[in-house]
Amino acid sequence: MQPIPAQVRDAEAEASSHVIEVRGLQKTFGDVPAVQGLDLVVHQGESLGLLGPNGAGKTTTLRILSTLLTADAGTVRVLGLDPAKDGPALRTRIGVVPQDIALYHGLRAEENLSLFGELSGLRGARLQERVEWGLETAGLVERRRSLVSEFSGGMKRRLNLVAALLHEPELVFLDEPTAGVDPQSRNHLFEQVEAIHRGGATLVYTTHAMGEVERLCDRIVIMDRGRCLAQGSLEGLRDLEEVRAGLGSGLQVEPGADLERAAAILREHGVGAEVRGAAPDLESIFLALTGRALRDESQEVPS
Amino acid sequence: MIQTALTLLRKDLRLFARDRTALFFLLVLPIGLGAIMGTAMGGGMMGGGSKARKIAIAVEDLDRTPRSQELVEAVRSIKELRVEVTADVRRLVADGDRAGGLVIPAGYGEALSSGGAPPDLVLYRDPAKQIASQVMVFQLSPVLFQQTAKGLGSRMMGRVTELMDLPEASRGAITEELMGSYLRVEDIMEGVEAAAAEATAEATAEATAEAGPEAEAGAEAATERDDDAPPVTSATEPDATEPDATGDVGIMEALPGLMGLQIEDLSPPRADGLPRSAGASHAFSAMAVMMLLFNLVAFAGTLLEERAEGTLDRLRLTPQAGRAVLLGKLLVTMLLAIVQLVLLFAFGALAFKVPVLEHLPALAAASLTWAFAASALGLLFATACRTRKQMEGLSTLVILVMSAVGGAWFPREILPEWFQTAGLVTPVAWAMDAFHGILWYGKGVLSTPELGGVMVPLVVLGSGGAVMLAAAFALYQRRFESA
Repeated sequence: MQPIPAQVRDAEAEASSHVIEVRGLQKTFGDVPAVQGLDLVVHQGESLGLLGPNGAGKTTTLRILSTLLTADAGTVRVLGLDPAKDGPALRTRIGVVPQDIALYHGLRAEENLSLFGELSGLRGARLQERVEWGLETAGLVERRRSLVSEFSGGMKRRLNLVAALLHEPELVFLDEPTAGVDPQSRNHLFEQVEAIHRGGATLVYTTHAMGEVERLCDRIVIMDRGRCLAQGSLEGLRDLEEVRAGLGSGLQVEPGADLERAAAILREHGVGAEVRGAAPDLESIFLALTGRALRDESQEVPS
Repeated sequence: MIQTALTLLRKDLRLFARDRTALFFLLVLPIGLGAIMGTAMGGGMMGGGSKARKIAIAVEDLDRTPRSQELVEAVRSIKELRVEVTADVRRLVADGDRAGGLVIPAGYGEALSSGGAPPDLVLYRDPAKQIASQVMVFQLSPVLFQQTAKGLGSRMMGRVTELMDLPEASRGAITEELMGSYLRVEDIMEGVEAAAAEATAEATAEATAEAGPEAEAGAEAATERDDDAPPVTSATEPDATEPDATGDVGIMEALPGLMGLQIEDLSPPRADGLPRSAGASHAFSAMAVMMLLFNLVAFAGTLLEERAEGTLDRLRLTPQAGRAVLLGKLLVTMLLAIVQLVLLFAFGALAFKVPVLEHLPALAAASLTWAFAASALGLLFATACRTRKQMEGLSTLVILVMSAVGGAWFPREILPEWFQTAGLVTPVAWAMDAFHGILWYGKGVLSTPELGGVMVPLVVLGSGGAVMLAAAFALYQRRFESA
């Protein structure tokens, strides 16, 4: 038996760690190109953020990867399977949290979870156990018998999230899962997503909210007009030349340094300087004032 | 304020003009349905005038003589009738296959030729097709009058010559001469009157010469009595001109007797002895067909609703859903259909004595088949349309048109012929045939020696349902699974 060359072994090992591998992906709707030659790799256990403005091709990419759409061209492997051909097998291993509140509003919370759990292949005691987990994770144990139509937007979002996780998928796609929710619910959703990631699941998170990506993602892909503009860690993206060129300069001092003294020294040398507190973003102010606890008592009027 | 109102008016008009469904309901639907109703009710549009409407009648010639053949050909010449010469017309009418059946009995031709009273023609009618039956009698009347005029005239003349107490040797000659010249009833009646006057004058002259003045006075008295008497009718004719309780004789009631026509309405018997109601049977059949379609199509439309709300994608993302999504929709729409049919027929049985229990197995078979076909049609609509709104507009038009030409609004036989043929393309026509066949004609699924079955409509519905379901699955795969 011939020994396998080291570089081949490395390539195979790297390929086996690829949860998603996309080459030259293309998808067009009529005359409108949605994705144009996208290359993408997602590694095992990674949390990837797909970032981009509306129409960037994020959702189309996600739908192709999750078996809902077929690509016009390119190769796609997800968990070693072809989404276009191995749909049923792949669906047992992935979870998708859709952008819409894809729940039956005329069913109760626990009925929705039972339905999606059963359709995901769970039965009997295991199904019941996962439904309980879902209700607990979503913070809806007390409201388990309420109709979804009676829920607030945040409650629906939380249920929408756990409904995709009942079968404990290895790979989870999250398509703007926090759209339209209050900061408390958003924070709760973040915590749940972080918990899923800590549990070992690979995440692909699409959004156009930068803060969410900063908080949740190890690596970021920035898309626009169906193409990948840049990809890498947040630090890596910050170091990109074109990014640096567009940013202003600043002075960094070590933590704990005497800022007033440093400013005085600068002024002595003819450099204008003053000390100001860092401006927190609005969300941080809101959370600091209103707390991080969930607020479910303010329900929406059922439609 | 007026300016504001006008601004709002412009806004609403813009919104309305861009709402295709609203435009469709406002403009297209009323005109489309008006055209169908007008055509059905005898309007001239689309070739739908009365000349395009033909009533199906079966003719059975048991006589097989030149005179009976002459009658058959005369009936064939009636443009408003679609005539089929066949055997066993009674069964054809009992089965609902023909609106009426005319039987020419044996001995008909011989009686006419010999100047005797021919046996009555028999017309079987389907009471469920009242309008067609009345039109049929009305259209048959001139032909039957003409064909039986000679016999009627002969019999009338024979009676006259008897009354006049003419010598037997001269009776035949007078009758023959008159009947050779006159064919139309009016002419015959004029001939009768003239012959009677002449015969009376001759008889009077002879009697006067033989018996003297007393006899002459008696003869004058006899002449006066004859002048006052009603027109002579044959004693062997059915006395159809007898006034009814109100003292009136309707033309439709009087016509058959005058034509030597015996009418028999074939009302199917019921096991419980109660009379059947054709109206109730038709109404509940129509409701079972039309309302079910509306409800099922509306329910099948939840597929589009689920697509719009994202739940369909979520179902598709589960490993076990796949095409079971569509199959699940089929099963639930069928279940709802069966529940609706059970409630409808239970109400019909209780409130209107519709004979549901009497035909339960056939009715169950028809209900299941129709539930399947209607559900398949609903799914076809849902998979063919892009939005629920689009589906509502399209399905409303299609269901209403199908119901009109398929016989759910009014019996198909009163529609123009091409409408009737077009109706057979719709599942509504076959479903109506099945339900009405069971509830009114008392048919089972299979034919019996006495009565046909509803197997053919059920097979057509089942096959059509299978084709529509296959098309729905194909569309679902193309437009929902890979879109």
